[in-house]
Parts: sequence; C-alpha cells; structure tokens
Amino acid sequence: MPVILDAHSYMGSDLQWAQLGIRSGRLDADAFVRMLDGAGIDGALVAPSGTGIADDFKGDLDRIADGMKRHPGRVIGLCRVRPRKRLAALASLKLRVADQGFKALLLHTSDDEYTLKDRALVDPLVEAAGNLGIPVILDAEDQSWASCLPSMVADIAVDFPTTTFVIARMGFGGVNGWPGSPQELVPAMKRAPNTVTETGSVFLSKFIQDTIEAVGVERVLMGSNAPYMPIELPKVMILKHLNKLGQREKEMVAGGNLARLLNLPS
Amino acid sequence: MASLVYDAHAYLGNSPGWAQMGLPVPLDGDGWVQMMDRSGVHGALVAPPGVGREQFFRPDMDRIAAAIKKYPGRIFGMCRVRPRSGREAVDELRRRVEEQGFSALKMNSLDDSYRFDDRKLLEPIIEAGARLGILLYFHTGDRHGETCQPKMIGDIAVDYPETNFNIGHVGYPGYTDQIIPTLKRAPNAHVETAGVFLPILLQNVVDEVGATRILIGSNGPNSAIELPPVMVNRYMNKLIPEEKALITGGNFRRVLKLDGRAADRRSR
Repeated sequence: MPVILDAHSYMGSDLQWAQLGIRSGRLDADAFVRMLDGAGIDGALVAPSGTGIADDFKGDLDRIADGMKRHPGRVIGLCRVRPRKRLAALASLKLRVADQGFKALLLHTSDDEYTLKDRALVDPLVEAAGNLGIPVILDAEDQSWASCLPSMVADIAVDFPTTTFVIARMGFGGVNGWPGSPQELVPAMKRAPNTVTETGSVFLSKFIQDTIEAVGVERVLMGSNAPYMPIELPKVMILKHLNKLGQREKEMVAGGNLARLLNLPS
Repeated sequence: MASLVYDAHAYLGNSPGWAQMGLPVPLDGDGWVQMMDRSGVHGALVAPPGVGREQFFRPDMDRIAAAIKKYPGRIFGMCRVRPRSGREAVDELRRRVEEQGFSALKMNSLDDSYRFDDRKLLEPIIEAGARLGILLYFHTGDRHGETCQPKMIGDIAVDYPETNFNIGHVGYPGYTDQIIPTLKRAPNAHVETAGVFLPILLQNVVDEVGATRILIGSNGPNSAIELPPVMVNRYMNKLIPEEKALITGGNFRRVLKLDGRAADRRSR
C-alpha cells in the first residue's frame, strides 16, 4: 500500500477554525488524526498555527510533541520558531528535534515580518537545521508572499548545499493568478538542486504537472495547508486527476517523496 | 435521493494545456460528461477558455453549442464576448441564447482590456443579457483584479434587479473584503467558488448573507471538478445538509431557472 503523507498542515488553536465546525477552533492531536482518517491520509507534517505566536508557539509545539508520542508516524512534528528570538529560537529548535523527534523546521516570514533576504536573521537557524539533519520549509502568507520568493530560497540553498529546502505553496504560483512566482519557481529549483516544493494552496493541475516535468517528480511533495484548506483535496487532485503521471509517480508526490526526505520508515 | 451537483464555472474547448492533466484536447461534450461521471458532478456551466480570445471564442462556443444539444441538462453554455466589438457582441449573445440554448453571459475584463465600471461600454451587452433572462457572470480577482472588482458588479446589479448576477472567484485574491457589502447591497448577486478552496471565507459569506447566495464552481478542468463538492460536503461542517445542497446544486438550478424551464415546457 502506498503511503499518503501531507507535507504542510497545522494544529493548535485558531478561532477561525470554528467556522469549519471545529469545536472552539481547537484542533488537538486526536482530532487531527480523526481528520487524517476521514481523508484516507496516513500522516502529516504538522506545525503550530500562526495564532500561537503569542507564546512563541510553545503551547502548540508541546501539543504536537504529545501528539507525536501518542500517534507515532501519523503526527509528524514541524518546528516553527521566530528568528527574531535568536538564541531562544535556536534552543527551541534543538530541543524539539533532538529530544522530541520533530522532523523539520518551518520558517514563516509572516511571523516576525522579515524577508528571506535578511540572511543574518535566517542563516543561524538554517545552519542549525543542517547540523540536526532536518529539512527547512520556507513559507509566507498571501499578503507577504514577496518576502519568501523561490529565488530567495535558492540563494540560501546554494549556500547550504547539504540541507534540503522546501519551497512552500510552490512559491505562491498558480493560486488563481496571485502575483507570486510561477515563472520563478522552476528556474530557482534548477539553480538549487537541494530544493523541493510542496503543493499547499495550489490547485492548478497544469502548473503542478509543468513543474514536475521541469524539475522531476521526486522534487514535488503533496501539501494541503489544512485545516485552512481541506486536507483531502490535494490527494484527490493528485491521485485521480493528474493523469499524465503514472501510478508510481502519483504515489511519489502523494507521500513517497516526503517519506524519503524525512527518512521515515517505509 | 442525494441532490444533484452542478458546477457553475468551468471551461470546454481547445486549450492545449489541458493535455497536461491527461485530458483529450480539444475537450468536447463527450469528454466533459465522462469527466463529470468520474467526479460525481451532474451538470456544468461551461465557457470557452481564454486562449480562444483572438477568434472571439467562436470555435469553442460552437463546440459548447454541440455539447448542449447532445447532453441537455448536463452541459450548460456561457457565452463569452468581447464588448468592444459592439453590436456584433450583442448579436452573438442573442444568437447563442435564442438559437443554441446558452444559459449565461461570461465577462472577463482581460478579454478586451476594459473595466467593469466602464458602463458606457458594458451597458448594451448587459441590457441584452437582462432582456434574455440569463445569468450574468463576471470574473473577479486575479492579477487584473483592479479592473474587475466585486463592488463594480454590485453597481451594475442594483440597476438590473430582476437579473441574476454571479461574481466569479469570490473576489479572490485581493478583493474578498468587497464581497459581503456587495452581496448585501445587491440581493440579486451571488458568488461562485472557482479556485477558492477557503472554507472559512465561504462560511463567513454564508453567515452574513445566507446559503442561497453561493454556488460552487471549479474552474475545471484547470482545477479538478471533483474538489469543490468535496470541500462543501465534507469540510464545511457548520452548514446543515440543506445548506450544502443549495450551494452544491440547488442555487444553480434556481439562478439558471432550470425548474422553471421544465415547468414552462410542460405547460406549453
């Protein structure tokens, strides 16, 4: 059976989630796993939601750590930190990875209103992630996409060639014409062979297929941006509607590539 | 019996990029019905894709006309016109609706480099659409979103209170904040969800103006047509089943007057 894994999701609290029928907007590990079960997804790389910034994501990272213990292989921790917290951010990353088994670092430029060009801020965390042997996911929000362009990710990636970097949401390309970087994604990925990308928020099938053909199927991961977006949709899109791909290629995008990247047991 | 699912925004015709999804190109009525059957969708309102702009969309509108004829009740046509062609655009709309059974008008400001607040340019085609009693669909959001803002559609809709308007893409991205004020101001305006997989945004719209004002759309086959009903039925869990049924199909039947048409036919 192929493994189905989501490379981009969130847990914790966000009052907006009540609008989805999530009670009190609180999504804990048990509820998250029920959501995975309902969608036929084996596991997900899950980060604290942005609302956790008030306590530097500590409360939600603790909840994720607990979820990883109770649902091993299904809740996969994605450590989110605030670069402007400097030494505290580095300490949090080391603790979460070395002691609790988190598998990747999320740098979200909206968290501290920075850009990936601010290398003095970003590089220490990237270097630490490299030393810990984990990939780095670089993301932004709709309104701050310009702070996290694929070219900026590539600039960092070429300087840390042994670390894998994930360009979240395909660099915001393909989101109903959102002014991101569909033209920029492929050149950036070609320039930095240690980059991959994930499909969160992207539902333009042609854009995904074009990217796969340009950079290779092993460099595209399925992501959902759940629960802000329904966790099941990328799986349906990839497995049923990206029909230029063969079955084996679909399975790589839908989970195999992430399992390989995170060294998960097959 | 489960209610039927209808897609309020999709494309049929000759768009070479669709081969990237393993679809036949051109995608005709047969291909579309097969795709709907695979996806649990009963019917779709389809327009010619943008690549046909130079030919005024006519070859693809001919394909749509053939599909309407072959698959009544499953394929519905949107007539896409370029308003700068003036009288020709109006005549084309009338012919497609009266002779070929098209059900709606589609306007995208990118097609002729115009703006939705250019009322002098748009008035003849809107008036013709209103007289024909069809749904008037307007694209919003996107890179050219400044030219096609939801509030501009609201301004038109209040002047044609008997006509149904559909605001494509819920103003996403960039203009979603105009949606609720526009829908409140123009009770004959609706939104459709193509490309918008943001259930929180859609639930906010339902909470403010009710479930009768949203129709699912897919942008298919650019995005998979199966996704919007999955989103509404399985991930918008504040909605009651009746509201889900309205959004996934009931509202489509109402704004396209499908039940009225059937009744009309029976009474003749």
